[in-house]
Amino acid sequence: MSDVVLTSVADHSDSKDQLGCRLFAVSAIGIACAAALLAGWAPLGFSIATVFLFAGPHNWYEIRYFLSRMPSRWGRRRAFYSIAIAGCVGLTAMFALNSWLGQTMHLTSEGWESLSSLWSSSLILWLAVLCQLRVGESSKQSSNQNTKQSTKQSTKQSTKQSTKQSTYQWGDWVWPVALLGVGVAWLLPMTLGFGLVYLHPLIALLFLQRELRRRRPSWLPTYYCVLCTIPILLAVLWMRLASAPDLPGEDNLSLTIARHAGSNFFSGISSHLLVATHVFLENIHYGVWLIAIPLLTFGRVPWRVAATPVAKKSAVWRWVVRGVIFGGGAVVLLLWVGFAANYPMTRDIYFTVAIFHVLAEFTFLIGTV
Amino acid sequence: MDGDLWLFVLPGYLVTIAIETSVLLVALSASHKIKDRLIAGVWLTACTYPIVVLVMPNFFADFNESYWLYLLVAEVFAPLAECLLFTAVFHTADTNRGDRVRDFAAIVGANLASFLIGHAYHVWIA
Repeated sequence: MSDVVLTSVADHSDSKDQLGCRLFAVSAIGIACAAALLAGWAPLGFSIATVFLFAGPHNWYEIRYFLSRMPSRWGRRRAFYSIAIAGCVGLTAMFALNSWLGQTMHLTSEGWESLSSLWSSSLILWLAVLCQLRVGESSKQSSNQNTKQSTKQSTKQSTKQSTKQSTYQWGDWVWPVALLGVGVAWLLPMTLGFGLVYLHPLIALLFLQRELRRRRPSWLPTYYCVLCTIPILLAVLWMRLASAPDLPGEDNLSLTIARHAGSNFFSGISSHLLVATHVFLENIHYGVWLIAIPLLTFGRVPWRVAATPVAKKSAVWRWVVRGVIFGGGAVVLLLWVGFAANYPMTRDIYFTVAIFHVLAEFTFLIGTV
Repeated sequence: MDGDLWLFVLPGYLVTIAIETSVLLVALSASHKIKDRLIAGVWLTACTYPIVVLVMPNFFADFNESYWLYLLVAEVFAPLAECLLFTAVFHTADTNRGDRVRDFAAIVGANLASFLIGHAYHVWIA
């Protein structure tokens, strides 16, 4: 009798899980299709509306999410997190300074390109250091395991062999790749910047994949199928808009939105296509951070400081977390006021400062591999 | 990007790797395995070549006029950086002084060989 009850309970939870998975797939595809449709049909209006509504809240949620993922004790990851935080702050400041210098000093295109190359090089080297630190951590873990095994076997020969080996590891290939990236950053100065504009929205999908793996692993095959709709929708957008005329507006706001999408850089490509692609990807990004991940982590109250591991480090950290959560909330409100008062200027400032959350995403992506 | 530069960068990359790997294969100290010598040949060049060829020219205002100064800086930077990288990755606390000196000499020799062959090509053939 009890077996029958248990089986029926298991069947019920299975069918509930399947229903949830289907609901997730249908909602995700529906949102992606709606975003593509609106991005293709009214890219400027859609961009203005979604950045106004979601830019601030999604940044706030991301920072909150990253705080909740940061361990309370850094231990041997102290160097990783210290360099990561210093890099996020330093590179954001450098990015803002470049932008300010470019506007106030009326730099030539060569000057812009040099500043852009310098920033891109710093970003690449920072990422390489973070990768190297992660590789070092994992190799230490594996060497600790090997040492334990070898002490069990207690063979002197194996110890001698291990001291003869070089410290070379596959992770050292990070450096040739990174330095090649630095070379390309000087050869094609603006490429990395616009690469980030178009690729960073997709990083959110990696975080969603990790959350699904942790909480709903049975949904992963469905998630991978849902992901296929993104290249399909992009292909449809590009086919429809490849020969579309440039966006008509000559006002400051329209030009700013087109510039953010790279209309100055990708000459010969319709600005309608560029803005539509950018807005579509941005909305996928917002959807992941403001709908999918909050629903998956349902039950966690985002403003509860005590639930954040890093807040348990010390009283100072508790205040830092409080400051980030409530101060961040105030910044979101301020951003809305700014958008309402002077949309083009606030948007320009937002897209300059928002590089911080892109860098934070990289940090946590590398840190949680 | 300038198409001519790609025509120079990609073959130059492969030729430099081929020359430096050959020298390192023969000249590095006996404490390194053949596999490590091959990896070092590719890895060291892969680290320094992009900086020497793609980044450094940007810091010389008139590249044609300051070509010799560029060469001097590049040919000091490349072996120095490669020696440091090699030490960081392939030397251990047990590596003796003689082996270290021989490895550094091999790296300097490899860079000199690639420079001389490259320069000869530049002067007589190109």
